[in-house]
Amino acid sequence: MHRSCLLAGLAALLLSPREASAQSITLNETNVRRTGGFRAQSQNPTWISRADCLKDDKLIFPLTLTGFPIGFSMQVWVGESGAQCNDINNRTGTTAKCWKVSDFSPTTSFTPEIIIPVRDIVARKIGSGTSIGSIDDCNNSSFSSNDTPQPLDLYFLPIQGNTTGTGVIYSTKIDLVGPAAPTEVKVGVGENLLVLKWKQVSSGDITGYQFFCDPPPGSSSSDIRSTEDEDPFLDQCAGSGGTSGSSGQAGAGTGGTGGSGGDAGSGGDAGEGGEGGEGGEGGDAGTAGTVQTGTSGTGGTSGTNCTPTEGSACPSLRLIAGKTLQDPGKYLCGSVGSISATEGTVEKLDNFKVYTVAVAAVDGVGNVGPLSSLVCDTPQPIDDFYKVYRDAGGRAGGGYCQVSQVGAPLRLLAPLLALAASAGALLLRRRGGR
Amino acid sequence: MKRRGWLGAAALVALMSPAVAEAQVETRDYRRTDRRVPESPQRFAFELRLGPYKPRIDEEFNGRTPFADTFGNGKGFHIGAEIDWQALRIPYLGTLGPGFSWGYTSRSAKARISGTGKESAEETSLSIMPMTLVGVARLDVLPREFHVPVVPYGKLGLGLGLWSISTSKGTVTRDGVQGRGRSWGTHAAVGGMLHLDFLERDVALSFDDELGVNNSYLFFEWMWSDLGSSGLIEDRPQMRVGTSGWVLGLAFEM
Repeated sequence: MHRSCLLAGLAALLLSPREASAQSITLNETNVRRTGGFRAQSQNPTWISRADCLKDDKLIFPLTLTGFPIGFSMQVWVGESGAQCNDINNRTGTTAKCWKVSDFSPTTSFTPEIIIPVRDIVARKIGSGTSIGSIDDCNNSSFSSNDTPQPLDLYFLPIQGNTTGTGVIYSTKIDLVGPAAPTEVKVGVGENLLVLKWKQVSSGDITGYQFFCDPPPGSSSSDIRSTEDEDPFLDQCAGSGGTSGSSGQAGAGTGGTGGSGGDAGSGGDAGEGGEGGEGGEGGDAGTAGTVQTGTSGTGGTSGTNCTPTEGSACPSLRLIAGKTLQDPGKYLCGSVGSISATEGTVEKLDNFKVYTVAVAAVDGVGNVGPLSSLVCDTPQPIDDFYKVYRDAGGRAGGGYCQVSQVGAPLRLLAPLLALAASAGALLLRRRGGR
Repeated sequence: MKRRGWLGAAALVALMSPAVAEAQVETRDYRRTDRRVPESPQRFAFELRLGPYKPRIDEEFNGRTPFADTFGNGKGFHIGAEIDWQALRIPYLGTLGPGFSWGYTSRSAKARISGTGKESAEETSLSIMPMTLVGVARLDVLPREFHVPVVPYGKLGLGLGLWSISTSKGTVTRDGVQGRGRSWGTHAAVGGMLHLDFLERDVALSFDDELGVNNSYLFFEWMWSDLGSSGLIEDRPQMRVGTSGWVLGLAFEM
């Protein structure tokens, strides 16, 4: 009896929350790593960006666990700042506002490295076990509607049932959306370059602007369609609204022929892009023996999100005003790293080739915002002052340090100058001697 | 009535007393006679210079005006600085010594698109750094001996202008020749310096006591430079980046 009482007491002690809180979890934030590496210090390297999500970056947290209670699991919960994920009511039930991104039971290792995919954090699946994210979440998550960085807390908690031990909190921020597009974009011509001007974006956490060109500088192609298949936009833009199906022919003794489907979508009007058009429905067949008119086919869905601008003043199948590029690096042709910049230059372009260009703002974690309206122009040779000077017959130039012969007057005067210098030196010496 | 008169007299005395006190320390020579401590040694003159600058580039050509065609007929400005070593003091007359000056001027305009004459979006710029090595004579006999706060001076020497033509892509190269070079020439200037110390003698004295500035001046100078116009120093084509015109500035003798 005595013995059993002792054992029960021991078990109670082991399982009690008080016991759980006796353990310690230490996270040295300076040792946190990322599989994709950190951004530059100026780009908030510990925050989570859209690019981090797209490249499936993972955060690695080296923990030190001391006296981790047996039977507890190590769980990582994420909540927006102040979510208090250590409170079970914020993790489960209808009031839950935290989502779980990791759950494991430490066994032999007491210095585990917890790897958390950025996508799982981005997915924000509350109340569905462990949140598992996918690439789709990078483009369309609850964080995709706000272009300002949102604070997040990651709670590293020992949990057993309803019992929560003392954990550690790691704070970061998430920002998946780039700043709004600059407006009033204008383009000017230079030699092998285009000069862009725009109106500064006044809101958002802008750190600079990037320029995107079609075709990209250095591209051997002058045909904007030639690399269509590489274009990440084409999936979104292939085919805009289909034309309506033609009406079914009148039934004449036999069933009428169904109306043909809508045509494959062609390029829509300049402006917003549209989704791929649906084919028009065929007309209903006429009833045999009865003269009946077939129902006209349903028109394809008109484009709403994607209208390639081919055929407009600034042709491009790759750059679409108002859209965010999936792979900005592919069309990147210049940048300025100043918040207040309203002008920039796209260099290394070919003269006499039409370039379609757009500007996008970049935020503090490198998210590139949607593209501005498209502008286009053709770089052309210019007459800079040196060309005008040389055309007029001027022959000076060649560098500050080019070697040449000493001028004739100086050659003639050299002995006199040497004599004068000697006399001067002598004079100074005499004065110094007095 | 009597009381009123006394009050008026007292007020008059009160109003005049600072002027009287000032009149007591007033001396004939505004320069140095009221000094509390000896004047610091004077070895150098330092000038801050500002004035218009239009290089003589178009004088190189007969009728063609590449500079005016590109940058227009307006005069740009230049800023500069000069330091002179007042190596010799000529008794009663003034100082004589070598001086070195550095200046900078730049002109920019939108380049034209070749063949069309239309303005492009690209800037073309000409930057010139005129430098001189001159002998400087400053005749401070007037303020010293005749209490006239004007110091006439003259400069004569050699000039070197480093020039560079650039666009937004950097220094231009045409036909394999880099668009920058040096132009040598002669340099001359005459001017007058207005001694400022008489305006605020106390400030002038503390300026000397604390910083070693013996005299401060506002000066006006006419300068002439033929940089690139003569083959004095080098036998090769040089851009005529010299100019002539006035310069305004502040000078300090230390």
